[in-house]
Amino acid sequence: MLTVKIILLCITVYLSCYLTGGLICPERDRKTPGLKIVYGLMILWAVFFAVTVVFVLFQKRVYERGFTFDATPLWNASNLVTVYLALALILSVAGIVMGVLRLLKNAEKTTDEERNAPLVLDRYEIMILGLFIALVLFQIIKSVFFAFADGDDSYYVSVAQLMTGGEQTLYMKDPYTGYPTSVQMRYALAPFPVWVGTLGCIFGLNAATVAHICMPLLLIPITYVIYNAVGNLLFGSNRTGKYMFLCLVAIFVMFSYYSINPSEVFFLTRTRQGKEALANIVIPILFYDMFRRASLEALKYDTKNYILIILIELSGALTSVFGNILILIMLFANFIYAFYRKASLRYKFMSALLAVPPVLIVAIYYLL
Amino acid sequence: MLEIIKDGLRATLTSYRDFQGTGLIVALFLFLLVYLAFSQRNRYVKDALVKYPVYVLLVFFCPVWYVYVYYFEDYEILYRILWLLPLGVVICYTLTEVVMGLNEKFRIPAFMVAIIVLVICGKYTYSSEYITLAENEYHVPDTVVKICDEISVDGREIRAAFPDEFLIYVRQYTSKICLPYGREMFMNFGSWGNELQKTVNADVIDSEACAFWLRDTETPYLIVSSSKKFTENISAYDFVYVTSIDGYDIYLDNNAYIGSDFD
Repeated sequence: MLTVKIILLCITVYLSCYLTGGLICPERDRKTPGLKIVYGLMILWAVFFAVTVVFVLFQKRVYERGFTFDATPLWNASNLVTVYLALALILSVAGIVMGVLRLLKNAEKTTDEERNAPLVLDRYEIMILGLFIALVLFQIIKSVFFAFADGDDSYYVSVAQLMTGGEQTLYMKDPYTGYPTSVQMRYALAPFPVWVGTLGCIFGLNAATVAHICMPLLLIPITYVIYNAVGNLLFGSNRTGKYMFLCLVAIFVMFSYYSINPSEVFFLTRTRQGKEALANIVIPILFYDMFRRASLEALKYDTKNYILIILIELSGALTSVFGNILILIMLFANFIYAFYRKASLRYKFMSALLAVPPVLIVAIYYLL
Repeated sequence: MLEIIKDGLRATLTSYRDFQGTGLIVALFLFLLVYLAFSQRNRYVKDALVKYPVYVLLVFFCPVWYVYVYYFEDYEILYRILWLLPLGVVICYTLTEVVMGLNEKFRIPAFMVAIIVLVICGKYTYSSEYITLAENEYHVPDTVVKICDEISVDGREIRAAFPDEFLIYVRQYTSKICLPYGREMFMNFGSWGNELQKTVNADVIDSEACAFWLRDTETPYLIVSSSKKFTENISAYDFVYVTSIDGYDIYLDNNAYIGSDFD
């Protein structure tokens, strides 16, 4: 039963990400199902961040006004789960509708050649790709069946555990001990563990199981999807080069324990923590997006692309408050680059405007 | 002002040193960065894989962080700026480019050499002493699961004092077991259970002090290693022995209401 629930959780999250991702996926990435999943995850994380912060701030306000929580149950954790589930369902259905409409619209345009183009790999490519897949499977199996003792889990996983344990307040109990506490905005503005707990509530799984088993199953492949996309940009049609690159990345990741701080160590040992998602999903997808826009799209934003970056920013905020600062550093690089490449005034202005969401979140952090 | 600069510079250098660890991978990265700067013809790849990493390094060593470190955050998170460096992409892309630039018959041996370079420069992540075979689907020790199941009460929370080795696991498994002191003990945040933690984890447990601090923190359960010695039998202070699980004894305050009437 446990295995069924874990599989169900993973399939459902991947499927909802895939369907939702279709809403925002840029034209040139549409043929890459993996990237659709990544973009869908960005949408679902951004939505979760927005909803949770509203819940936390209202709860905080209720308490600061001296009301007991029981008197104002509207902003409780159960309602948060319901609201998020409803929004995720609505987004998934919208993704299906948009996908069907797009399919009908493009059905005539698709040539037989496009439909039937098979992927033919030579022996050399099969060998390298096989090695890469084996390495990724090895990493997933290691993460699922081996435990990594990390002190930070006693905070993050315990926050998720409070959710699945039926606690209705958010960040108002010290996860280390269970004593009542005031909301610490540093954690409340980066509610990634609450997302882990929410998945546990929806699928009836213990938060520790979601954190330690489901998160590696969900997030490790997603990071490799982004590496694959970066590989596409770097190697173009040179498949052998791309597979070799991916293979080396997988080995590089496995041999990154030269210190405890590299993002790759977090990737394999602390997959359930927001910091890992920041370092290995949010930062790489933003890097990919900037790289792609610079190299293939002649420094232009379309509306979808612009919204996508804002969603990535909010996803970064979900994972870590310091993530907002890191995203600002990347956006500043993008802004300087616009001047270096003599981009249009509109592009520079839009690039500057992108800094607004993370600046606002950091401001909320320091003001509250 | 001088103090801010000194502290900031020390923090930045410490973060960099901690991040680079043995230094081999970072040295390889810097070497390949220079190689890429001279060999790469594609300007966009050069912008992304050479100029952008240089920008990140400049940002990391920028003195603005000195002020940030001084007024807002502790320096321990500064290393995260280095997460913006596409270390893996730069290293693996350059190695691949070198391999692909060779004659076809040399590619496989060169690919093997590239793998060996990564293996030698790095360190195997799964060699960490903190990685062990998971005992259950919660990735917490079975002993913790058994003890928590033994003392939990349906419909309410119950507080228990655990030895230090279990502190990080208990509330990962269940939020229904509360602790008088938690992991913050080791992070110098201070806690109500400070004295109790010292007493429970002492070589010889002072029974009188232990009973006093347990009641003071409204903690009915005490879990200690069976090999621990008490100054006197704790039953003298009305704590009864409940059972032993995997070499740990469980004691319960005889005067405590644990809500068993919920059953």
